[in-house]
Amino acid sequence: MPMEICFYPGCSFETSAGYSQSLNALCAHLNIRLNSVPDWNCCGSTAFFSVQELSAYPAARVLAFAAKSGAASLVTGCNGCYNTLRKVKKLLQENEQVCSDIQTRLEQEGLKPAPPDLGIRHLLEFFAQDVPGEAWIRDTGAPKLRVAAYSGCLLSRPWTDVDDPENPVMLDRFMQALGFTPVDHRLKASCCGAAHALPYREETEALVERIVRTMQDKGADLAATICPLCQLNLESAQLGLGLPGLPVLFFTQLAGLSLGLPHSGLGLDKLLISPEKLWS
Amino acid sequence: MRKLQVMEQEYLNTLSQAFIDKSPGAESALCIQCGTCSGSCPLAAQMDNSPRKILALIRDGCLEEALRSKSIWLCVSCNACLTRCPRGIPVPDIMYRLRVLALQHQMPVKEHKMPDLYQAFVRQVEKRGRVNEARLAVRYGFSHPRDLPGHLGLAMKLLKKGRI
Repeated sequence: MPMEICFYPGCSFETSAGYSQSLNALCAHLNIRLNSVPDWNCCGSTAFFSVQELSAYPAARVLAFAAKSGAASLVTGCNGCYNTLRKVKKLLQENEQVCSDIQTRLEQEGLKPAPPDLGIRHLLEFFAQDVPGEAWIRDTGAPKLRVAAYSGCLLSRPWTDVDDPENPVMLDRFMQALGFTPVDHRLKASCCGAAHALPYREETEALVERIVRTMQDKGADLAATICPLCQLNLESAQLGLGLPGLPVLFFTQLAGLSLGLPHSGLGLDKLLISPEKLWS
Repeated sequence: MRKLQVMEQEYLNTLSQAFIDKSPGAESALCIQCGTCSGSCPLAAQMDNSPRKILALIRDGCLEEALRSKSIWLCVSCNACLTRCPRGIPVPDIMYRLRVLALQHQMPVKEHKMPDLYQAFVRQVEKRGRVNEARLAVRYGFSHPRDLPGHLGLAMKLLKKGRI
Protein backbone atom coordinates (compact mmCIF):
# COMPACT_ATOMS: atom_id res chain seq x y z
CA MET A 1 0.00 0.00 0.00
CA PRO A 2 1.48 3.36 -0.94
CA MET A 3 1.63 6.20 1.58
CA GLU A 4 -0.69 8.96 0.42
CA ILE A 5 -0.46 12.68 0.95
CA CYS A 6 -2.81 15.50 0.08
CA PHE A 7 -0.42 17.85 -1.72
CA TYR A 8 -0.80 21.57 -2.37
CA PRO A 9 1.78 22.43 -5.06
CA GLY A 10 1.34 26.23 -5.08
CA CYS A 11 1.92 28.42 -8.14
CA SER A 12 5.74 28.26 -8.18
CA PHE A 13 6.14 24.50 -7.88
CA GLU A 14 6.13 23.47 -11.55
CA THR A 15 8.54 26.15 -12.77
CA SER A 16 11.02 25.68 -9.91
CA ALA A 17 14.45 24.26 -10.67
CA GLY A 18 13.78 20.54 -10.53
CA TYR A 19 11.49 20.58 -7.50
CA SER A 20 8.65 18.72 -9.21
CA GLN A 21 10.99 16.33 -11.07
CA SER A 22 12.90 15.38 -7.94
CA LEU A 23 9.76 15.08 -5.80
CA ASN A 24 8.12 12.79 -8.36
CA ALA A 25 11.26 10.63 -8.57
CA LEU A 26 11.45 10.44 -4.79
CA CYS A 27 7.78 9.52 -4.41
CA ALA A 28 8.02 6.83 -7.09
CA HIS A 29 11.04 5.31 -5.32
CA LEU A 30 9.49 5.43 -1.82
CA ASN A 31 6.01 4.37 -2.96
CA ILE A 32 4.31 7.61 -1.98
CA ARG A 33 1.26 8.84 -3.85
CA LEU A 34 0.84 12.61 -4.19
CA ASN A 35 -2.82 13.58 -4.45
CA SER A 36 -2.97 17.23 -5.49
CA VAL A 37 -5.73 19.34 -3.92
CA PRO A 38 -8.51 19.29 -6.56
CA ASP A 39 -9.01 22.53 -8.52
CA TRP A 40 -6.45 24.31 -6.35
CA ASN A 41 -5.94 28.05 -6.57
CA CYS A 42 -3.23 30.48 -5.40
CA CYS A 43 -3.14 30.77 -1.59
CA GLY A 44 -3.20 34.56 -1.91
CA SER A 45 0.25 35.07 -0.45
CA THR A 46 1.19 38.38 1.17
CA ALA A 47 -0.23 40.24 -1.84
CA PHE A 48 -3.84 39.68 -0.79
CA PHE A 49 -3.23 40.77 2.81
CA SER A 50 -1.60 43.93 1.43
CA VAL A 51 -4.44 44.92 -0.88
CA GLN A 52 -7.65 43.75 0.80
CA GLU A 53 -8.45 43.69 4.50
CA LEU A 54 -8.49 40.19 6.03
CA SER A 55 -8.55 38.56 2.64
CA ALA A 56 -8.74 34.94 3.66
CA TYR A 57 -10.80 33.56 0.82
CA PRO A 58 -8.13 32.09 -1.52
CA ALA A 59 -6.46 30.12 1.28
CA ALA A 60 -9.79 29.15 2.87
CA ARG A 61 -10.87 27.70 -0.48
CA VAL A 62 -7.72 25.57 -0.69
CA LEU A 63 -8.25 24.30 2.85
CA ALA A 64 -11.92 23.52 2.11
CA PHE A 65 -11.00 21.45 -0.96
CA ALA A 66 -8.32 19.58 1.01
CA ALA A 67 -10.82 18.76 3.78
CA LYS A 68 -13.43 17.71 1.23
CA SER A 69 -10.99 15.18 -0.22
CA GLY A 70 -11.01 13.45 3.17
CA ALA A 71 -7.37 14.19 4.03
CA ALA A 72 -6.38 14.65 7.67
CA SER A 73 -3.67 17.08 6.68
CA LEU A 74 -2.42 19.02 3.70
CA VAL A 75 1.24 19.14 2.71
CA THR A 76 2.93 21.96 0.79
CA GLY A 77 6.49 22.46 -0.39
CA CYS A 78 6.47 26.27 -0.35
CA ASN A 79 7.22 28.40 2.72
CA GLY A 80 4.95 31.18 1.46
CA CYS A 81 1.97 28.88 0.95
CA TYR A 82 2.68 27.14 4.26
CA ASN A 83 2.64 30.45 6.11
CA THR A 84 -0.44 31.83 4.36
CA LEU A 85 -2.47 28.66 4.90
CA ARG A 86 -1.58 28.50 8.59
CA LYS A 87 -2.20 32.22 9.05
CA VAL A 88 -5.65 31.99 7.45
CA LYS A 89 -6.54 28.87 9.43
CA LYS A 90 -5.73 30.79 12.62
CA LEU A 91 -7.68 33.84 11.43
CA LEU A 92 -10.76 31.71 10.74
CA GLN A 93 -10.55 30.21 14.22
CA GLU A 94 -10.19 33.57 15.94
CA ASN A 95 -12.39 35.92 13.91
CA GLU A 96 -16.06 34.94 13.76
CA GLN A 97 -16.98 37.70 11.32
CA VAL A 98 -14.36 36.62 8.76
CA CYS A 99 -15.32 33.00 9.34
CA SER A 100 -19.00 33.55 8.62
CA ASP A 101 -18.26 35.67 5.50
CA ILE A 102 -15.97 32.95 4.20
CA GLN A 103 -18.54 30.27 4.97
CA THR A 104 -21.15 32.10 2.87
CA ARG A 105 -18.76 32.39 -0.07
CA LEU A 106 -17.67 28.77 0.15
CA GLU A 107 -21.26 27.55 0.30
CA GLN A 108 -21.93 29.26 -3.03
CA GLU A 109 -19.36 26.84 -4.43
CA GLY A 110 -20.86 23.88 -2.60
CA LEU A 111 -17.95 23.79 -0.13
CA LYS A 112 -17.76 23.77 3.65
CA PRO A 113 -15.02 25.48 5.69
CA ALA A 114 -12.24 23.07 6.67
CA PRO A 115 -12.52 21.67 10.21
CA PRO A 116 -10.07 23.23 12.72
CA ASP A 117 -8.17 19.97 13.09
CA LEU A 118 -7.06 19.86 9.43
CA GLY A 119 -3.27 19.71 9.64
CA ILE A 120 -1.03 21.98 7.54
CA ARG A 121 2.45 20.62 7.08
CA HIS A 122 5.59 21.42 5.14
CA LEU A 123 6.96 18.84 2.73
CA LEU A 124 10.18 18.81 4.77
CA GLU A 125 8.23 17.81 7.89
CA PHE A 126 6.63 14.99 5.96
CA PHE A 127 9.92 13.55 4.67
CA ALA A 128 11.90 14.16 7.87
CA GLN A 129 9.24 12.93 10.29
CA ASP A 130 6.60 10.74 8.60
CA VAL A 131 8.68 8.72 6.19
CA PRO A 132 10.29 5.95 8.28
CA GLY A 133 14.02 6.41 8.84
CA GLU A 134 14.72 2.97 7.29
CA ALA A 135 13.64 4.36 3.92
CA TRP A 136 16.79 6.44 3.64
CA ILE A 137 19.34 3.89 2.50
CA ARG A 138 22.33 5.79 1.23
CA ASP A 139 23.70 4.63 -2.08
CA THR A 140 27.36 3.66 -1.84
CA GLY A 141 28.14 5.88 -4.82
CA ALA A 142 26.31 8.93 -3.45
CA PRO A 143 28.48 12.05 -3.42
CA LYS A 144 29.94 13.26 -0.13
CA LEU A 145 28.80 16.84 0.28
CA ARG A 146 29.00 19.59 2.88
CA VAL A 147 25.54 21.12 2.89
CA ALA A 148 24.51 24.54 4.21
CA ALA A 149 20.86 24.17 5.20
CA TYR A 150 18.67 27.16 4.46
CA SER A 151 15.11 26.96 5.80
CA GLY A 152 14.21 30.60 5.16
CA CYS A 153 11.77 32.64 7.21
CA LEU A 154 8.35 31.14 7.18
CA LEU A 155 8.76 27.49 8.17
CA SER A 156 9.46 28.50 11.76
CA ARG A 157 8.29 32.10 11.97
CA PRO A 158 6.02 32.89 13.63
CA TRP A 159 5.28 29.17 14.13
CA THR A 160 7.88 28.30 16.71
CA ASP A 161 6.23 24.88 17.14
CA VAL A 162 7.77 23.31 14.04
CA ASP A 163 11.38 24.41 14.26
CA ASP A 164 13.50 27.02 16.02
CA PRO A 165 12.72 30.52 14.65
CA GLU A 166 16.32 31.75 14.95
CA ASN A 167 18.33 28.61 14.33
CA PRO A 168 16.20 25.96 12.62
CA VAL A 169 17.63 22.43 12.73
CA MET A 170 15.13 20.14 11.00
CA LEU A 171 16.76 20.49 7.59
CA ASP A 172 20.28 19.98 9.03
CA ARG A 173 19.15 16.78 10.76
CA PHE A 174 17.46 15.52 7.61
CA MET A 175 20.64 16.19 5.61
CA GLN A 176 22.59 14.27 8.24
CA ALA A 177 20.13 11.35 8.03
CA LEU A 178 20.79 11.32 4.27
CA GLY A 179 24.52 10.96 4.93
CA PHE A 180 25.55 14.51 4.05
CA THR A 181 27.59 16.76 6.32
CA PRO A 182 25.60 19.77 7.53
CA VAL A 183 27.63 22.96 7.80
CA ASP A 184 26.72 25.06 10.82
CA HIS A 185 26.00 28.69 10.03
CA ARG A 186 23.94 31.52 11.50
CA LEU A 187 21.79 32.57 8.55
CA LYS A 188 19.53 29.54 8.07
CA ALA A 189 16.42 31.65 8.71
CA SER A 190 17.72 34.95 7.36
CA CYS A 191 15.46 36.61 4.78
CA CYS A 192 16.23 36.14 1.05
CA GLY A 193 14.15 39.16 0.03
CA ALA A 194 11.14 37.19 -1.23
CA ALA A 195 9.02 38.96 -3.87
CA HIS A 196 10.82 42.25 -3.21
CA ALA A 197 13.64 40.85 -5.37
CA LEU A 198 11.75 42.01 -8.47
CA PRO A 199 11.34 45.73 -7.67
CA TYR A 200 14.28 45.99 -5.24
CA ARG A 201 16.95 43.90 -6.94
CA GLU A 202 20.04 45.60 -5.51
CA GLU A 203 18.70 45.76 -1.97
CA THR A 204 17.76 42.08 -1.90
CA GLU A 205 21.00 41.01 -3.62
CA ALA A 206 22.80 42.39 -0.58
CA LEU A 207 20.77 40.05 1.65
CA VAL A 208 21.65 37.03 -0.49
CA GLU A 209 25.30 38.05 -0.71
CA ARG A 210 25.58 37.94 3.08
CA ILE A 211 23.91 34.52 3.22
CA VAL A 212 25.95 32.93 0.41
CA ARG A 213 29.27 34.37 1.62
CA THR A 214 28.59 33.04 5.11
CA MET A 215 27.84 29.58 3.72
CA GLN A 216 31.03 29.64 1.65
CA ASP A 217 33.12 30.88 4.57
CA LYS A 218 31.88 27.89 6.57
CA GLY A 219 33.05 25.55 3.83
CA ALA A 220 29.75 24.58 2.24
CA ASP A 221 29.76 22.85 -1.15
CA LEU A 222 26.15 23.81 -1.76
CA ALA A 223 23.00 25.15 -0.14
CA ALA A 224 19.83 23.14 0.50
CA THR A 225 16.46 24.94 0.25
CA ILE A 226 12.85 24.03 0.98
CA CYS A 227 11.03 26.86 -0.84
CA PRO A 228 10.78 27.82 -4.54
CA LEU A 229 11.24 31.54 -3.93
CA CYS A 230 14.21 31.03 -1.58
CA GLN A 231 15.82 28.80 -4.20
CA LEU A 232 15.27 31.30 -7.01
CA ASN A 233 16.54 34.27 -5.00
CA LEU A 234 19.58 32.50 -3.56
CA GLU A 235 20.54 31.23 -6.98
CA SER A 236 19.71 34.18 -9.22
CA ALA A 237 21.20 36.93 -7.05
CA GLN A 238 24.60 35.21 -7.26
CA LEU A 239 24.67 35.74 -11.02
CA GLY A 240 24.85 39.50 -10.57
CA LEU A 241 27.30 39.40 -7.68
CA GLY A 242 30.24 37.64 -9.27
CA LEU A 243 30.54 35.18 -6.38
CA PRO A 244 32.19 31.79 -6.99
CA GLY A 245 28.81 30.17 -7.61
CA LEU A 246 27.37 28.13 -4.77
CA PRO A 247 24.86 25.62 -6.17
CA VAL A 248 21.42 25.89 -4.53
CA LEU A 249 19.47 22.61 -4.54
CA PHE A 250 16.06 21.58 -3.28
CA PHE A 251 16.18 19.13 -0.36
CA THR A 252 14.27 16.67 -2.54
CA GLN A 253 17.10 16.70 -5.10
CA LEU A 254 19.60 15.95 -2.34
CA ALA A 255 17.42 13.12 -1.04
CA GLY A 256 17.40 11.68 -4.56
CA LEU A 257 21.21 11.94 -4.77
CA SER A 258 21.57 10.17 -1.44
CA LEU A 259 19.31 7.31 -2.52
CA GLY A 260 21.27 6.94 -5.74
CA LEU A 261 18.36 7.81 -8.04
CA PRO A 262 19.36 8.59 -11.65
CA HIS A 263 20.59 12.18 -11.85
CA SER A 264 18.64 12.73 -15.04
CA GLY A 265 15.36 12.35 -13.12
CA LEU A 266 16.18 14.93 -10.45
CA GLY A 267 15.93 18.05 -12.60
CA LEU A 268 19.54 19.04 -11.85
CA ASP A 269 19.85 20.43 -15.39
CA LYS A 270 17.31 23.11 -14.44
CA LEU A 271 19.68 24.72 -11.94
CA LEU A 272 21.44 27.92 -13.04
CA ILE A 273 24.56 26.99 -11.04
CA SER A 274 25.40 23.41 -11.87
CA PRO A 275 26.39 21.13 -8.98
CA GLU A 276 27.95 18.52 -11.35
CA LYS A 277 31.51 19.68 -10.61
CA LEU A 278 31.03 18.46 -7.02
CA TRP A 279 30.97 14.79 -8.03
CA SER A 280 32.51 14.52 -11.48
CA MET B 1 4.13 67.99 4.19
CA ARG B 2 1.03 69.20 2.38
CA LYS B 3 -1.10 71.65 4.35
CA LEU B 4 -4.34 69.98 5.35
CA GLN B 5 -7.79 71.49 5.25
CA VAL B 6 -9.73 71.52 8.52
CA MET B 7 -12.14 68.87 7.32
CA GLU B 8 -9.27 66.67 6.19
CA GLN B 9 -7.55 66.98 9.54
CA GLU B 10 -10.75 65.97 11.29
CA TYR B 11 -11.10 63.01 8.99
CA LEU B 12 -7.52 61.97 9.64
CA ASN B 13 -8.03 62.20 13.39
CA THR B 14 -11.03 59.90 13.12
CA LEU B 15 -9.11 57.51 10.92
CA SER B 16 -6.18 57.53 13.31
CA GLN B 17 -8.40 56.86 16.32
CA ALA B 18 -10.22 54.04 14.49
CA PHE B 19 -6.85 52.50 13.66
CA ILE B 20 -5.70 52.32 17.29
CA ASP B 21 -9.12 51.24 18.56
CA LYS B 22 -8.99 47.95 16.70
CA SER B 23 -6.54 45.04 16.42
CA PRO B 24 -3.84 44.90 15.04
CA GLY B 25 -3.43 48.72 15.33
CA ALA B 26 -4.47 48.59 18.99
CA GLU B 27 -1.42 46.49 19.85
CA SER B 28 0.81 49.48 19.05
CA ALA B 29 -0.12 50.70 22.54
CA LEU B 30 1.96 47.83 23.96
CA CYS B 31 5.15 49.09 22.28
CA ILE B 32 8.01 50.02 24.62
CA GLN B 33 10.12 51.48 21.76
CA CYS B 34 12.98 49.04 22.38
CA GLY B 35 13.77 48.89 18.65
CA THR B 36 14.08 45.10 18.44
CA CYS B 37 11.82 45.20 15.36
CA SER B 38 14.07 47.68 13.55
CA GLY B 39 17.18 45.75 14.56
CA SER B 40 15.65 42.51 13.19
CA CYS B 41 14.30 43.95 9.95
CA PRO B 42 16.29 42.88 6.84
CA LEU B 43 15.32 46.03 4.92
CA ALA B 44 15.26 48.61 7.75
CA ALA B 45 18.31 50.33 6.25
CA GLN B 46 16.30 51.14 3.10
CA MET B 47 13.33 52.54 5.02
CA ASP B 48 12.37 56.16 5.59
CA ASN B 49 10.68 55.36 8.91
CA SER B 50 11.90 52.26 10.74
CA PRO B 51 9.34 49.76 12.09
CA ARG B 52 9.90 51.17 15.60
CA LYS B 53 9.13 54.67 14.35
CA ILE B 54 6.03 53.49 12.47
CA LEU B 55 4.68 52.15 15.78
CA ALA B 56 5.48 55.46 17.48
CA LEU B 57 3.72 57.42 14.70
CA ILE B 58 0.58 55.31 15.03
CA ARG B 59 0.54 55.68 18.78
CA ASP B 60 1.07 59.43 18.63
CA GLY B 61 -1.80 59.92 16.20
CA CYS B 62 0.42 60.70 13.20
CA LEU B 63 -1.23 58.08 11.01
CA GLU B 64 -0.83 60.10 7.81
CA GLU B 65 2.96 60.02 8.01
CA ALA B 66 2.85 56.27 8.60
CA LEU B 67 0.56 55.79 5.61
CA ARG B 68 2.82 57.83 3.32
CA SER B 69 5.94 55.91 4.37
CA LYS B 70 7.92 53.86 1.91
CA SER B 71 8.58 51.53 4.85
CA ILE B 72 5.13 49.98 4.96
CA TRP B 73 5.73 48.66 1.43
CA LEU B 74 9.26 47.46 2.17
CA CYS B 75 8.17 44.97 4.85
CA VAL B 76 9.03 41.53 3.41
CA SER B 77 6.82 39.65 5.91
CA CYS B 78 9.80 37.66 7.20
CA ASN B 79 8.18 37.75 10.68
CA ALA B 80 11.52 38.30 12.44
CA CYS B 81 10.16 41.35 14.32
CA LEU B 82 6.98 39.53 15.30
CA THR B 83 8.88 36.55 16.68
CA ARG B 84 11.36 38.67 18.62
CA CYS B 85 9.10 41.47 19.91
CA PRO B 86 9.12 41.29 23.72
CA ARG B 87 5.55 42.63 23.71
CA GLY B 88 4.23 40.28 21.03
CA ILE B 89 3.14 43.08 18.69
CA PRO B 90 2.03 41.74 15.28
CA VAL B 91 4.09 44.25 13.29
CA PRO B 92 3.56 42.56 9.87
CA ASP B 93 -0.23 42.62 10.38
CA ILE B 94 0.00 46.32 11.24
CA MET B 95 1.95 46.85 8.00
CA TYR B 96 -0.75 44.98 5.99
CA ARG B 97 -3.46 47.09 7.59
CA LEU B 98 -1.55 50.32 6.81
CA ARG B 99 -1.10 49.19 3.18
CA VAL B 100 -4.81 48.55 2.74
CA LEU B 101 -5.63 51.95 4.21
CA ALA B 102 -2.99 53.70 2.11
CA LEU B 103 -4.43 52.12 -1.04
CA GLN B 104 -7.98 53.02 -0.05
CA HIS B 105 -6.88 56.65 0.23
CA GLN B 106 -4.74 56.53 -2.91
CA MET B 107 -1.63 57.49 -0.99
CA PRO B 108 1.10 55.30 -2.46
CA VAL B 109 3.32 57.09 -4.95
CA LYS B 110 5.16 55.66 -7.95
CA GLU B 111 8.43 55.15 -6.05
CA HIS B 112 6.74 52.72 -3.66
CA LYS B 113 6.75 49.99 -6.35
CA MET B 114 5.24 47.14 -4.30
CA PRO B 115 1.61 48.38 -4.56
CA ASP B 116 1.74 47.82 -8.33
CA LEU B 117 3.24 44.35 -7.90
CA TYR B 118 0.69 43.32 -5.26
CA GLN B 119 -2.24 44.71 -7.24
CA ALA B 120 -1.08 42.96 -10.42
CA PHE B 121 -0.74 39.75 -8.39
CA VAL B 122 -4.25 40.00 -6.95
CA ARG B 123 -5.78 40.85 -10.34
CA GLN B 124 -4.10 37.83 -11.89
CA VAL B 125 -5.33 35.47 -9.16
CA GLU B 126 -8.86 36.86 -9.39
CA LYS B 127 -8.83 36.35 -13.14
CA ARG B 128 -6.95 33.06 -13.49
CA GLY B 129 -6.97 31.49 -10.04
CA ARG B 130 -3.22 31.03 -10.06
CA VAL B 131 -0.12 33.15 -10.57
CA ASN B 132 2.25 32.90 -13.50
CA GLU B 133 5.46 34.56 -12.32
CA ALA B 134 6.75 35.53 -15.77
CA ARG B 135 3.42 37.10 -16.71
CA LEU B 136 3.39 38.91 -13.37
CA ALA B 137 6.91 40.28 -13.92
CA VAL B 138 5.95 41.58 -17.38
CA ARG B 139 2.76 43.13 -16.00
CA TYR B 140 4.79 44.87 -13.28
CA GLY B 141 7.29 45.98 -15.91
CA PHE B 142 4.61 47.97 -17.76
CA SER B 143 4.36 50.33 -14.80
CA HIS B 144 8.06 50.23 -13.83
CA PRO B 145 10.03 49.73 -17.08
CA ARG B 146 13.26 50.93 -15.48
CA ASP B 147 13.31 47.89 -13.18
CA LEU B 148 13.28 45.42 -16.05
CA PRO B 149 16.75 45.63 -17.67
CA GLY B 150 18.34 44.41 -14.43
CA HIS B 151 16.34 41.19 -14.72
CA LEU B 152 16.69 40.55 -18.46
CA GLY B 153 19.79 38.38 -18.15
CA LEU B 154 18.09 36.23 -15.54
CA ALA B 155 14.92 35.98 -17.61
CA MET B 156 16.90 34.71 -20.62
CA LYS B 157 18.67 32.12 -18.47
CA LEU B 158 15.41 30.91 -16.92
CA LEU B 159 13.82 30.72 -20.37
CA LYS B 160 16.72 28.61 -21.62
CA LYS B 161 16.27 26.22 -18.68
CA GLY B 162 12.54 25.89 -19.37
CA ARG B 163 11.70 27.58 -16.08
CA ILE B 164 9.47 30.24 -17.63
